[in-house]
Amino acid sequence: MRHFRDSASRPRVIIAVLAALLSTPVLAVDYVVHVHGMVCSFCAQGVTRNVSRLSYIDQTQYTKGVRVEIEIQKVTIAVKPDEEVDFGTLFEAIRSAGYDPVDVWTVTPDGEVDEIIYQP
Amino acid sequence: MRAVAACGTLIILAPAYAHQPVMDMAPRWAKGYGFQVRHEQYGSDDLRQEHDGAANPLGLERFVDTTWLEGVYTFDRAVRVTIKIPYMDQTRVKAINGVGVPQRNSGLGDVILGLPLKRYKNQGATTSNWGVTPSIRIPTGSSSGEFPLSDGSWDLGLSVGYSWESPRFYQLYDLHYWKQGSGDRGMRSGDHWGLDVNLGIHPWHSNDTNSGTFLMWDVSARHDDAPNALNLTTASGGDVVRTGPVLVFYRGSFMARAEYKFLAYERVDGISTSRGDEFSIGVGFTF
Repeated sequence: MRHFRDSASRPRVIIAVLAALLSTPVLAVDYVVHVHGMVCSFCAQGVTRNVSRLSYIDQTQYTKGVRVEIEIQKVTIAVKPDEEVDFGTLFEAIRSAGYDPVDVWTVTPDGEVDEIIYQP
Repeated sequence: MRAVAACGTLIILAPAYAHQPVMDMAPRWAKGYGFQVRHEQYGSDDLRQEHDGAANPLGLERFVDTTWLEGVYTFDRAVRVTIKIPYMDQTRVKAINGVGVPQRNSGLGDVILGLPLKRYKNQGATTSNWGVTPSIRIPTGSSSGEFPLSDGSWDLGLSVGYSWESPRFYQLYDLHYWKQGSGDRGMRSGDHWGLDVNLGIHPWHSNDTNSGTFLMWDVSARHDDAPNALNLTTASGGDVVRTGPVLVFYRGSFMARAEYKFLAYERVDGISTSRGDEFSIGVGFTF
């Protein structure tokens, strides 16, 4: 705390802290969708193609905002900050790709699947 | 010699219908489309009499190279349309008056239109489907000359298939039949039956790059009725079973495929040039 004793440097520190806080990017929110029937690259391609076109998907994350893990039937989507997910259009996009969505889970900051938030 | 003179057989085999990812598996998504270019070759300089090999003093042979341009459009996962456009280049040595005479012909073959109809079942980490595909073969190939590319007929085909797939394993069973029509100059190729069985694994897949491989084993059985027309240059019917490995690599929208099938069993009507081994290689894209 020695440097705070210098009253002249205190404003600079406060400004630096505020600047750092203001410049921290607001992270996209991830959700995980369990999807039945995805078994190969073509499946991943179709799901990515359809889901990435939804307006609330953050295409700067993963592959156009979508990550597919075929071994565990898991689709992770990155949603733009302050955007709401329309689960109806999300499920329709996946069905239109040829696969069957089951439910949607929230994801903890650590990346762990947390709890179901949508299950038609 | 009479037996040799009676052969020099041309068999325009119906194209193989082994597992074709772009045409069969993808695109599954609605309003998707894809195409692939595939080259296949079969043929032999072995002469056969029924089940056995025969002496071939005239050096009779037949080789057929076909380059296919194939396209698919998916309305939704249950309904697709396909088109297959072949460019053929075929050579042979035919016995004419006791002498082996080389012949060659190349050009557009018969175009095939198909309507794959599928019923899918997605269950956990597996997907399966039953498929029925009515097809029509349009006589766009030349039926003129001594070594025609087509008999000039409109043909009707029907395929019934089932496939099951998981992230690790794959299996496909497909039975198809072509009813040949009567073509130009009275030519009519024999009706055709085919059975394909594909069993395979996904040895590798990367979620990060959406790329991976299929490794499959293919068994293809074919039966051709004898054609009716001698002006089809003494064509012959018969049965053939080929088997061999299929390797598929995919990355995103790209797919490459290579297949080599060895001749495992063959019976010809009378005496004929063997159909021989079959090699196929192709690349495809989906959008």
